[in-house]
Parts: sequence; structure tokens; C-alpha cells
Amino acid sequence: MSRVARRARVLLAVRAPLPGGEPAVGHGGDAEAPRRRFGNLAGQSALFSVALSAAGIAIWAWALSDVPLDRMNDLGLVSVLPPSALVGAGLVVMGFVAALVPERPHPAVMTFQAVVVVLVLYGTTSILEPTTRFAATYRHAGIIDYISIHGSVDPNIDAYFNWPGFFAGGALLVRLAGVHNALALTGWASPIFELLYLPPILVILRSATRDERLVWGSVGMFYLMNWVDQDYFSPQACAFLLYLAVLAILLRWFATPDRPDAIDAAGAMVRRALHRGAFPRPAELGRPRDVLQVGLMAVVILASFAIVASHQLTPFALLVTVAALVIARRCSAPLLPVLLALLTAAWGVYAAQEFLSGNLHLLSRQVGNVDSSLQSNVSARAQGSFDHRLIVDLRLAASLGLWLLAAAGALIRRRQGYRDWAMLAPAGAPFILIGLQSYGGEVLLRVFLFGLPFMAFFAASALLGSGRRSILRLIGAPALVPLLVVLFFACRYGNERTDYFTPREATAAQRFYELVPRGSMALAATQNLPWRYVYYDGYDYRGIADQDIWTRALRRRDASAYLLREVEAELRAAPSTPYLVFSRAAVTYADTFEGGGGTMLRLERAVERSPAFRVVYRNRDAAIYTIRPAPGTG
Amino acid sequence: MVRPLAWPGSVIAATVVLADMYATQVHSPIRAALAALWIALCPGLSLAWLLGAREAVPRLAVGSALSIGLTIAIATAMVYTRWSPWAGLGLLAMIALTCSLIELVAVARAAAA
Repeated sequence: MSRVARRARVLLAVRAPLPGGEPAVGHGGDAEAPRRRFGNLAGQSALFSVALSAAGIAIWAWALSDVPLDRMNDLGLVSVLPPSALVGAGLVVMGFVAALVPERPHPAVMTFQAVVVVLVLYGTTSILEPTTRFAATYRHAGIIDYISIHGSVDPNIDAYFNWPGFFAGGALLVRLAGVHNALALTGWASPIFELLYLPPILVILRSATRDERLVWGSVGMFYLMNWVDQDYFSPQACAFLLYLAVLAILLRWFATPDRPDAIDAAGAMVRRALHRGAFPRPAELGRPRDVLQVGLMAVVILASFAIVASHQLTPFALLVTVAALVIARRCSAPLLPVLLALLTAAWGVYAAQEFLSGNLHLLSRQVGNVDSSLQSNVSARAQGSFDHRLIVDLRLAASLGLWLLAAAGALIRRRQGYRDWAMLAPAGAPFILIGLQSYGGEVLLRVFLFGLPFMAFFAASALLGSGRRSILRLIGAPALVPLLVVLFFACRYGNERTDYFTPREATAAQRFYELVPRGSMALAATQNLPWRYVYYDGYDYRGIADQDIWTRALRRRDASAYLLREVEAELRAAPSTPYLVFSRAAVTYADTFEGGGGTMLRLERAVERSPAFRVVYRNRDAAIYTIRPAPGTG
Repeated sequence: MVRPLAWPGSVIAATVVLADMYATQVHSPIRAALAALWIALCPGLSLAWLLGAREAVPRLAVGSALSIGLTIAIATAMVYTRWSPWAGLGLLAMIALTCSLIELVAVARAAAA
């Protein structure tokens, strides 16, 4: 074994902390010797970790210079990413792990490492892809555009307009940034949101442990396991940041220490009151700590209002999590869950009335229907090609693996004497959401996201735990890190074939708005298109795969012929000139996620051949058609 | 002395630069990046300090929640009443500047004492 390899082995063999996070100190002899060794090790590991990360970034950046995105298959980004990009990313994560070697990792080094890890894991698509990813991002930009133009919302347009907080804030940002459209601000949203998550996560973790290795290990785990891709320019990304901040404030400034039960506490309070008089003295009322707590509670309420005004699901996640903290007696604001419930209900009654009055029966039918929720979240997603099903299986395995590891970590910490209710309650509470809503088949993703910082803490506890229980010591970072990095890229970017839009698709969307008159009906294969970033309410946007004809077609042998007839009939029934739009991502989405299995592609070819349709615009990845007048109608 | 002044100083500098770019209609990627960072952090950073979040990490956590929370609350209120981006951004800038000046004075006084 070479000297360098021996050195790397020594540095990557993570040393176990003592319970409570206190540094291990040698016994007898020269008392300064362990400290000197520790100092040397800390300095060496910092240098080594920075060198690893620098090498990793160089390899990763070089590898990204030539990635054939056009050749992506249903495995997503990993199908075209050069192995050297994964090696580079792996080295960066190894650098992060190497920086964890000292018992007290240097905060500046760890911050640098965390920033680099975020850049590599979450900035890859920002660097690689010339267009903004996710159809939803374009829609969000469109709603911001609508608010910028009209200065108000129309709750009848769709559900987004009933929770406009994020979009209204976005409209202010667009004005301040001096850009024409919010799309210009979306390219780097994921890494920026992930970096904004770092401070509240650190506050949360430091409220649970003084062991800095465990704190930063949990941060690393969070970033390596956050595959759910909900950090794009969206209300969810923003609401999750506020959710973390609220929990950070509650766990740091409103935490209740271990104490005797309520009866003892009440008795003590009565005794104090009898001793000092029934009412607190003015000096006590004016204590700085109380004033600050009132101020911080105002921040919690403000952030909660912003969550309630911006997103449908996060208020419920916050409500159940805060309620769990109060029930576990780890939050000294027992009325906060009541206030959150009132805020959420008030918003539903006054601002989201239009949406809820039309959909309340559908939403209430899902409450308690766990089977249906799990079916739409798990079984319904495991369809499509073999490659896509492999990605879905990997995601399930990654999620279950993390939860199992977290359970092991929680048990280990319990046996070490830690009472982690302040972390266990928020880790488990989001699971209640499964019983409330399927959230369009996405509730399991959100449950994973809301619990992730806390699950990451327990999982890191299992990996970095003391003595023989340290899984990281058993398996070794060099074996575990590459596995987690590949798993991250496969899971997070597994849908990239449909999340990514080629420049030709973006050009087609631009040409659509130049060529198609406002008010026209626009029927697309699916809504997975880079459109609606302007004129959000300017067209009658429809998707073939959103309609009953699609479900009926999939049950027939002549699916594409049937669809061709139905689409033609729908277009002919339109009051003004209708348009039909196909694009690579929209067609792939229908065939992969909507059970098409090639039906939409066959429909597109049938439309190409049909004399009933006329091409308005076409490039290699997208086409816009209109319908010719029916024979005999002049 | 320099380090405690760096926080409010940065907020004031960013606010002034952005206000100047806004007023003179400068359109550049730098303005876009600065605006995104400003909205995410600046209005709440000094307010967080006034509320007792004085270490860097808790300050960033509370500051970002305050900044984004204030932006969304003000913008939402305007959407349901009267939309005026100029007034909304002016209010945010005023909060940022006032709190930063208070922090600046408090830090300077503490140093002098």
C-alpha cells in the first residue's frame, strides 16, 4: 500500500466520539500530547479534505463539459453522465467526510465543504442544461407574470391562485431584479434553496447535540438523501425553508428541558405564586428574555402565515409537527398548534374559498383512506419501462433504507441514554399526512422531505455512532460514499428525461406565443411543456393525457387510431381555431408516467401522416399543428 | 470592531446599491442575483439581531425566515388590497435600513463603552 493510500485510510477512518459529544482525551502521561495530536490531525484532515474536494470539483467540472443530454434514457441523468462526473462528485463527498475526522471539525472548513457538496449535488443540472427544468417552474413564472400584470389574483383560474403568497413575493422579486420574467431567476434555485436550508438545519441539529461531528454528519446525510427534487423555484421549496426556520426557532428558543410531570410543575408554580404573590412583578414581565421570546414568537407567526398563504400541504405538516413537539413536551408554546390550525382554517374560509368549495368533498373523501393514498403514491408510480421502474425501486429502497438506518440510530442513542423526543417527534409526525391526503400521489415524497432533517440526524448517529456500533467504521467511508453518490444521482435525476427541456422545445414554446392567437384552444400531449410562463390565462390549455379519452384509449387495442379520431373531434368542436402541440418531453411523459407505453408517440406519428392536420411550426423536438377545415365546409 | 459592523454594513450597502440600480433602471445579471439574495436575507438580518439571534448561524436562520416571511406577507396583503411594488419594496428597504442603523449604533456604542 502506498504512503498516500495509508494516509487516506488513517484520515478516513472516522473516530468515534464519547457519548454527549465530549472529545476523547487520553489518560496519564503528557496531558498535552493528545491535544497536540488532535490539533495536528485536525489541520491535516482539513488540508486533506480541501485537497480532495478541489480535485473532485476539477474532475466533475471537466466531465460536465461534454454530456450528450439528447441521448438520455429512462434512467435519467446517470444514463448520460460520464463516470468521471460521478467520481468527481464522490471525491467532493469524500472531502466532506474527511473533514469530519477531528472530534471538533473546523466550522469554516465544514461550511466550505457543505457549500461544495451542494454545488456538486444540486448544481449539476444548472450547469449542464441550457434551459430551466420542470414544467411546473414555467407555470410558476406564468403566475408571477399574471400578478405582475394584473396586481391581483383570480381564484377561479386554478388552485395556485388560492395560495398566492409565494407568487406575490415572486412578483416583488421580479420587479426588484429588473428582469422581464421570473424564468430568468430560476436556473440556480435548487442550490440556492439548499444553501438557505443549511442555517436552520444547523440550529435544529445543535439543539439536539453538542457533538459537531454528528451535526455535520447529519448535514451531509441530509444533502445526500434529499433526492425528492422539491427545491426548484416553487412554493414548496420556499415553504420548506420557512418550515425549517419555524422548527429551528421553536427547538432553540422555545425548547422545554426534561422536567417532572405536569402535576409537579403546576404544584411548583402554585407554591411560587403563593410565596411571591399571585401576579408576576413588573420587573419579571419586562425581562429581556421574555421580550425577545415575544419577538421570536412573532417571527414564528409571520413565517407560519407565509407558509399558509403559499402552500396547501406545508401548513398541515407544520401543524402536526408542532403538535407532536407540544405533546412530547418539547415546546413551551402549547397554544401554537391551535393558532396554526386557526390560521390554516381562516385562510381556507376566506382566501381559498373558491377552490375548497368546489373540491372539499374530494379532499374530505381522502381523509383516513391510507390504502388509497399508498396505492397512488407507490403502486401507481411503479409503471412504465424497466429502467423507470428500476429508478422507482431505487427511490423506495433509498427511502426505506434511510428510515431503517434512522430507526437503528434512534435505538442506539436511546441505549446510550439520550432522550431525543425533540428530534423523534418531528421525524415521525409527518407520517400522519399519509392518512389525510394522497396529494396527487406525492404525499409520500413530502412526508420524506418534512422528516428528512430529523431522519438524517438519527441515520448519521448510526453511521458515526461510538465503538463497534459505528457502521461507518465497519463498512468504511470509501465503500459507502460512492454508493450514496450514485444512489443520489440515480434517484434525484431519474426523471430527467422528462424534467429536462431541450432548447428546441423552449424555442417551440416561444414560437407558440408568437404564432397562436390569444384565446385559442391549445391541446398538448400532456402539460409537461415549457409553456405558460406568459399568458397564463390567455389560452385554453388542455392535455390529452388529462382527459377521459386517454384512459379509454389505453383500454383499447386501436388506442392511437381511437385517440386520433377523438382529438380531431375535440379540435373541430373548438369555438376558435384550435392548435395541437407535441413535444419530446410531453410525449415521453405520457408514455412513461401516464401508462402510455408508446401510445402517445404513435398518436404523434398518426397526426403527422393525417391530412386533417396542418403544420404551423416544427423542429426536431416539437411541433405545433392546427386542423384543416373539414371537407365540404368551405 | 470591524466584524460586528460587517453585518449591518453589508445590509445597508446592498440596500443602497440595489435602490440605486432600481432607480436608474440598470438591467444586469448582477442586479438579478443581488435582488434574489437581498429578498432572501436582508430585510430580516438586522431585525433578527435585535430579537436576540446574534450568532451567525441562528441569525441567518431567523433572518431568512423574517425576510421571506415579510416579503410574502407584504406582497400577499397588496394582492388582496392594492398592488404597489414600489411601496412594498420601499417598506422592505425601510425595515432593512432602520434595523441595520439601530444595530450599527448599538454596536458602535457597545464598542465605545
